Amino acid sequence: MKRVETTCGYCGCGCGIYVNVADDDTILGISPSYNHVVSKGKLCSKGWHGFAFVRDSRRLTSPLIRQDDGTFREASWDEALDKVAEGFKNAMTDGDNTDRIGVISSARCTNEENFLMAKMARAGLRTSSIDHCARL
Amino acid sequence: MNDISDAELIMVIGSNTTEQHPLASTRIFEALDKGAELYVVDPRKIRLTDFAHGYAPIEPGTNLPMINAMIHVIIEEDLIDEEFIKNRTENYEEMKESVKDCTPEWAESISKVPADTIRQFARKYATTDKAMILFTMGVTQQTTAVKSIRALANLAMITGHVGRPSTGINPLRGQNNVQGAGDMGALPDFLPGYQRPEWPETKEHYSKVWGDFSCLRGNNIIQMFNLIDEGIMKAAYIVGENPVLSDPDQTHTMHCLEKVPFLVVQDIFLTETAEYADVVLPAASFLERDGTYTNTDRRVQMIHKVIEPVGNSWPDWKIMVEIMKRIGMDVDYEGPSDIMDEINIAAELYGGISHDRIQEVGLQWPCPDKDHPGTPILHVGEFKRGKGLFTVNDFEYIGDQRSEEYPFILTTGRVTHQYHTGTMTRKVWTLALEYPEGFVEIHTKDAEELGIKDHQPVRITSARGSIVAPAMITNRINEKTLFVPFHFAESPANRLTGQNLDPIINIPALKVSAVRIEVE
Amino acid sequence: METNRLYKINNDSLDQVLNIWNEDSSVYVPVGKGRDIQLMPLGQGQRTEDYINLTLPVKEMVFEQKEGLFKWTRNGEDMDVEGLAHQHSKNRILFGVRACDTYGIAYTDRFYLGEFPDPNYKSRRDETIIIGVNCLRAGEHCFCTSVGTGVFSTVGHDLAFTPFDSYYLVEVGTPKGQDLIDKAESYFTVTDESILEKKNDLMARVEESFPLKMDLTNLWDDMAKTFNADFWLDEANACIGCTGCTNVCPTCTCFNVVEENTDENHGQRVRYWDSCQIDHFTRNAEHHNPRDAISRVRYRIYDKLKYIEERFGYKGCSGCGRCTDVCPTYISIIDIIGEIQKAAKENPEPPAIHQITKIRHEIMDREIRSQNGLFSPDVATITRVKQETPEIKRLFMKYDDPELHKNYEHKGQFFQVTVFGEGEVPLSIPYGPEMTDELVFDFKNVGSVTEKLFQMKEGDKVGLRGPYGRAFPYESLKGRNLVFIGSGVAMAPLRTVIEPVMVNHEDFKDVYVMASALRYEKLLYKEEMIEWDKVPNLTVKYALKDPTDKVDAYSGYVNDLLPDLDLDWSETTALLCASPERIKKLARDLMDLGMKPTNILVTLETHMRCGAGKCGHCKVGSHYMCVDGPVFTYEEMMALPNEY
Repeated sequence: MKRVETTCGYCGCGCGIYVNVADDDTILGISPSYNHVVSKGKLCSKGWHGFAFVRDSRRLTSPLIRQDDGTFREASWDEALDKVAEGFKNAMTDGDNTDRIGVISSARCTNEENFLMAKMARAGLRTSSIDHCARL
Repeated sequence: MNDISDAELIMVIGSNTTEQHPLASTRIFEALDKGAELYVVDPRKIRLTDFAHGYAPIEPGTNLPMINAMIHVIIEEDLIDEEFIKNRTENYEEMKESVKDCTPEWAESISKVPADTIRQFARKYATTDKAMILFTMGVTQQTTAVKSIRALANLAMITGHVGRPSTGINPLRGQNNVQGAGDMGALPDFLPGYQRPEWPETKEHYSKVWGDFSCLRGNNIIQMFNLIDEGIMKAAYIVGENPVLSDPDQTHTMHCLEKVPFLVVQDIFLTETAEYADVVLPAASFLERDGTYTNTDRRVQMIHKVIEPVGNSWPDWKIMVEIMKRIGMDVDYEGPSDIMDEINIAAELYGGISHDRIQEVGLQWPCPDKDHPGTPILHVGEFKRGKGLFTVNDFEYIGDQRSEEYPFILTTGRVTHQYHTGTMTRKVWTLALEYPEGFVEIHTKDAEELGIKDHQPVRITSARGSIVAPAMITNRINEKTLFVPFHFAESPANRLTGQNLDPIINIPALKVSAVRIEVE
Repeated sequence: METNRLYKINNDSLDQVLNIWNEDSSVYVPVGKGRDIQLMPLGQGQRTEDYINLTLPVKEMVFEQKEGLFKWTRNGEDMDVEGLAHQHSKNRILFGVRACDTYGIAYTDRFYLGEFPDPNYKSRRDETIIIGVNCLRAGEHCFCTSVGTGVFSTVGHDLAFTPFDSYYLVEVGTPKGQDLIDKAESYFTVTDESILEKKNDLMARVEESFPLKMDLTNLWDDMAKTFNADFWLDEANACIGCTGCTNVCPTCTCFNVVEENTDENHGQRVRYWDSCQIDHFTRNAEHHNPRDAISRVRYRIYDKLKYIEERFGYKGCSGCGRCTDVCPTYISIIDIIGEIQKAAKENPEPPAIHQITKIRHEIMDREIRSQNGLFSPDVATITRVKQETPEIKRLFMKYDDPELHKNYEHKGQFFQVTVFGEGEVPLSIPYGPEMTDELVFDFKNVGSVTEKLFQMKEGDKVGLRGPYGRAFPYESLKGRNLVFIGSGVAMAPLRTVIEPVMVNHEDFKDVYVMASALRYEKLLYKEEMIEWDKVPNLTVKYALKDPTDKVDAYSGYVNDLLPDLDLDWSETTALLCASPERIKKLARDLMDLGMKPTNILVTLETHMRCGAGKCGHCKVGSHYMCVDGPVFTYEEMMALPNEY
């Protein structure tokens, strides 16, 4: 078994948790972290239980592309990413694209990912229209 | 967080702390154990009120009059901190003039909080040394958001409750990394590190780090949807966000998502928003990748990968890097740690924060260099702009009001066992069992008048739309006020909310919608 | 081999011995820094001796936070069920377990392995060896000495180490422990009983050093006198349902079962740790929750300090204090004990009858005949479907495995019926002992599982576990008058007695069956009742709200009919099946007519999940509705707190 120390992914408290994993990679459950400066060994119900969705059968496991009849079909990463790039390039002009392309990043994404989004939006897609859910 | 435990007085405005930030409420309980006093301002008798020394059952949308009235009382009763005002602030006289007529009686007529309660809160706050204010969306999701926060800043400054331990006005950030997302410039009006696009230094600095880039004040999410509606915005890329359930005026949101010519949605489940996408990209959850989150304490903490990404999903950063390459950017990151190295250079606030340094304990920004230990308290000694600026924040109400057609005010919020649009928590067995469906809280008296019984399905209608939800009859809410949590797709609170916005920052007034309710 | 020998081992030798043991089994040792000490496999981190206690109790190793119960696969017409009891089993030696946790393991052993032994727990427990290491200092919230489960381990350990300056005293608890010593015997030196005096001295000094010393001698009396004390509201107001307290408790054993489906043809039923501190734990189908916030918070304390010991005869709380450590709103069992004692002194109330009545059920050794184990259903195929009323259907079914019908014993009150992929519901057995070839269930469409059952046809597969529950004591009814009172679908559990009574009617005196419902159409067994009425000493009476011309029915409550029954009530037994409020009203009327509460039999049904007295959802006070009930005498029912 292994116990991986990480930070809870729910509210802004950012409590410390250990995720207990069995040898066959099943996630067993959570141990709280007494050492953690914020949570000091305590957790709320989301901290204790909120991990259990990760292997739900409804997880998206493949990129999807919308077909002409309106339904989705599975696609490879290459195909999907190429289509994304193509779609963005079609929307871009040679100048500034602030009103043409919008990017909504996520407060569930890490700092590194949000930084990449800001860079992609401004330096790659050349749009200043980037936002996230802070207002919500 | 430790500051909360050491406070002598905690004023909680618009924050259902035990439900939204349970571990922050732990600190409130610690303070209470040590003899602190708790004052709560909320339209509902939230759990904290059972432990409070004072409770103001405020009418939704009317924080500002109450805050201004508190300032008025403090000035009138000479409870101000003259030293602080003299040495560390500017513009006091103009602000003082602006609250001349903001008597508690005037505030009572608008906010329904008894004038004596306002006086009690004001006096207690002013005369307690370590007094702090905690607030969240109850203050900010209003048309008076910016003014209210500035008024809170006024309140803190006239009593010298800034820049010392256990004081200040402290927003409790709702999401695990909403603080970090803002820090990292996922905002239209800031670049990473809160650098304004209009400042010449910003353009100069980022040109070195990023090369050519769009340096304007961009459109925010509300404006983006409006541009889509007008046919001007042609493409959108939405990551880890479910606007169909979380944005105001659901009908409008859905219409825009349908209309936008090219939509890419990246998420871990096929959300209500992803259903509209042209391309859906499967992302990895917080247990499946490494990275950092910044909590409400400004503490940057590691998340560690526990299991491999499920199925063929990829970590978000990897997806982003691949897209960046394909649109012609010259990027090469092997992992999140590399990206943090670039953040160190780009954003001074995070200058000294690296994965190595935060393996055991996170660091609080500002942390400008590799030896800096992080900063527990902000604004010690001096504000960023030098002296604190008092502002004039006159109350003029814009937004929904009760009317004959819509005699109730709806306020929205959360419950502790569910999270936001429920994408994750409604799939966790125990959290879903605890709240299998949405509900609407209604006062006993109102329910009786309308012939509504507990658990009975009722229809709630606003000018924007209509939903059905089971009624939950309670005495713990103001009369003629309703509460609906926004987690539940089958009774989406945001179908009822509208685009009444704060004019300065465009935050939607999700906490105030005029509605009517009837048996379904 | 003699057990209970005493040994010494030098501190320096310990690591070598652990390595030797690690050759054949997985040795787990305490690892971590500060206060985060957890058991990790040897080699994954530095073993530490500097700790008060482990974060999670040792139960996490034998009763996992999440574990699979069974897997099901639909292959065309067939349904395959595979028990998952041996998942994650492996030989383990857990070193460094404190006395509160060894007590916890002794407790969970008796709980899970007695009375319907739990195969999942057993498969792991058999392969786990517990080595206790006794404490030399107390933590902030430790009170094992006040409860009597510590400070040094007395039960649950295979070996117990007591640290002295340069060596450990090692006491052997079980033959498994002795085997371990033998494996590394060169490092252990036998020592004699004189060391026990040293050990007791040390123990006395450690106990003396405990900051918390509580006198719990009169605790049960105090608890009986403060059931409705004011301070419970404050505690209930604080609880945010985080479930931390029950997660970290060494003696908490409750769980819930969840269907986790891969797709429509494959799935698993898993169990997760569950908690009585969360609202849905006792919530019934139609929004009814017998426990409110105060009951819930109070229940945990009463269970740990009183109910468990009342029912099982051994302590329910090991005094480890972890629940107090992890509560985000500072609910503390230690403080609560203080409040109870204070309120008992200052403001006692007359003790509630359910707190002082000593009714204890026999703990029996029960087993279940099944192919795959206690928690894995046996597959049955539906043979016939009959619509009884618009909302009630009857399903006839046969086990796929004919062996299960051979020597089928009719005992128990209900079965747990599984709809694969959807869930499981308890359904009463509405037939008599003569039906061994086919099983029958009558049920109402009230939830997601019964909805699926409602749509089933001949040939569909379901899963069955059971029979469970204490049935009506048929033999004791002989020679007496009988009055059956059932409303609507509640007639089903009564039919299991009515059938044999009808067949052997000479064994009984006068028998009345009182059927009540809102309308005639809502009655169950309408045709059968007409047949029953034809039996010489059996009369069927109807009490309906809406009149009908189908039968001669009284318009009103069935209670009104009782005084007119020409019966010697002292020679009568009444069998009631209705909602708890109705039962109470009926019982009161019957007692007014001269009946003794021991002759009034009721069925109490609550939210049930496992049916075998393990998951805890059906517990009312100290008793399990599924194992001690669902049939009770009214006297026993009055001894339960009003939480059903």
